[in-house]
Amino acid sequence: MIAYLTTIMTLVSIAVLIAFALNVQWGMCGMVNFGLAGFVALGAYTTALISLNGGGFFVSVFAAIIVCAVMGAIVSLISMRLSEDYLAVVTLGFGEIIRLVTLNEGWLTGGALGLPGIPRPMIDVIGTDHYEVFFLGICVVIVGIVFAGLEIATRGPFGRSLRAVRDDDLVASSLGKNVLLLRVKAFAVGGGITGIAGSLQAFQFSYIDPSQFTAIMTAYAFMAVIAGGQGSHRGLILGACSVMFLLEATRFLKDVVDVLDNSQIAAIRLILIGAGLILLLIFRPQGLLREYRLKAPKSSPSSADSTAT
Amino acid sequence: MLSVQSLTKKFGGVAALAGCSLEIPEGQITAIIGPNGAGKSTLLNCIAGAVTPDGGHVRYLGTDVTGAKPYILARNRLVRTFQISRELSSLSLLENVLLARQNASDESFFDPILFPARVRRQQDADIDKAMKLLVRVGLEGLADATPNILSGGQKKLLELARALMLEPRMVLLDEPAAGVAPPMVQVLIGIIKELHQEGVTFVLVEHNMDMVSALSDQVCVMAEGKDLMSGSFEQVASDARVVEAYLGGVL
Repeated sequence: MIAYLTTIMTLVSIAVLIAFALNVQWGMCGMVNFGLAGFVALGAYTTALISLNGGGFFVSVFAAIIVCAVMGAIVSLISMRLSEDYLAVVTLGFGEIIRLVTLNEGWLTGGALGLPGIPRPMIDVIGTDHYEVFFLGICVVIVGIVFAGLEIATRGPFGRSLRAVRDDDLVASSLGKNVLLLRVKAFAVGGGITGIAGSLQAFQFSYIDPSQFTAIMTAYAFMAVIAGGQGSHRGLILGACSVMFLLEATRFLKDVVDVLDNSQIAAIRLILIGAGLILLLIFRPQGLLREYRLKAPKSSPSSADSTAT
Repeated sequence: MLSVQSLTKKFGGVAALAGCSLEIPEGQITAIIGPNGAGKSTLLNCIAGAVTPDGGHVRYLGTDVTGAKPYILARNRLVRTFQISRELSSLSLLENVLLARQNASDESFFDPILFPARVRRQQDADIDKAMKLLVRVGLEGLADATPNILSGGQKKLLELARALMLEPRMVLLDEPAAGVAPPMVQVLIGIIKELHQEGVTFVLVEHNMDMVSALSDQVCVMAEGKDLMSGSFEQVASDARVVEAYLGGVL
């Protein structure tokens, strides 16, 4: 049971990271990204190839961040001249390209067989007995660092500018914001975070193949962000946890309801998750938590002046 | 300060601007009036960079800024408001105003992480300034609210406060009195007059003649995408060509 919970929590951590990326790109900046799974795959393959060729943990994670961030910037730049709806098509296409490349360029990616034997960080020091718990620790620390970084960066001017671009790009531009640059940055930051998620995925399974990076990965991220509240990093952690809880808790349905067989249970699980999301959207369409808004200082400036003089 | 030379812009087959030329002198309030469809809003959009003109030139402070992106103009302290208020609906009033501060760290992801103290210090100073502007337009009590609860006139005031946060040299006002209750129009006129005395140049596209006569040093009349004439409000109001443009030559 402990092993099961550890694995689930590791997977939730990775899902939360992917949702963070989507939250910066779509939640805050209003740019939809249906190619998240492709970005995660890119990060995972980068990490796998580097660590299989002798690169260490930090080197391979860092490389994945850079590769995915640059790719994010490129994808957003090439689609900038198109109208915004087409970004959905471009990102969808990007995800598909990555999938086809990983599937067919066997000399690099191992094709459908994937890349086995990715060395897990510090496994010879920790030993295999408690390794899963140790790795969960790494994941939680990384999620914590990314969360703190995002909160600090997006509560301030940068986040405010992104939200302005999302609300009305012409107004943001009229007030002196370089909209194109902000959009590219949002996509690059999101890309970098998916790179981390991909790295962790590669180290978690120590084996990657194209079938791990499917559209459902992107769908979970959207669920987490929608359930948590667009723009709220805290909310999406709750959102990702609730989606994962629904997903996993319904596994135990078969122990409770014995009239159904396994395939029926599998179908019912998905129905329950869908129903849960619909109920959430009916009763809390804005999501679980609202995005951060700057509060006005308590003392009015006129009173501050009078105390100063 | 701003000069427009034979600007043209076509939408489909319709020429919204057909060679319009204007001179906006520094430190004055210039009103642009004209019948509906005269091309006033298109002219403003072309100056502000929201629409790229097909031909002609816009020069601002001696530099050619034809087709320049709005943010470039804003950073050179030329700011505009919108005919239909475009407030940022999920940002609070304070954040709406604060957004207009001119600071490069607004576009930096890493600055707040690497230099938290400096960013916070700058932001606190800017919050102070933004709150003072909200006090000036009488919206300080709603600083934490989102703009959807504002009346039409309050939205115009918010837009004005937002424009002022930029410390503008020139403000383009696109129908500031449209959809605003008469008492609020007087408030707007009062604030614009004050700012004018502080040295801000205004260009005012407006149908409300009370506002035009109360504010303008110079009035330019546009008709059919061209500049028809300009002069003082009294000169313009008594000009036969202007009457004809408005009434279509029926009289």
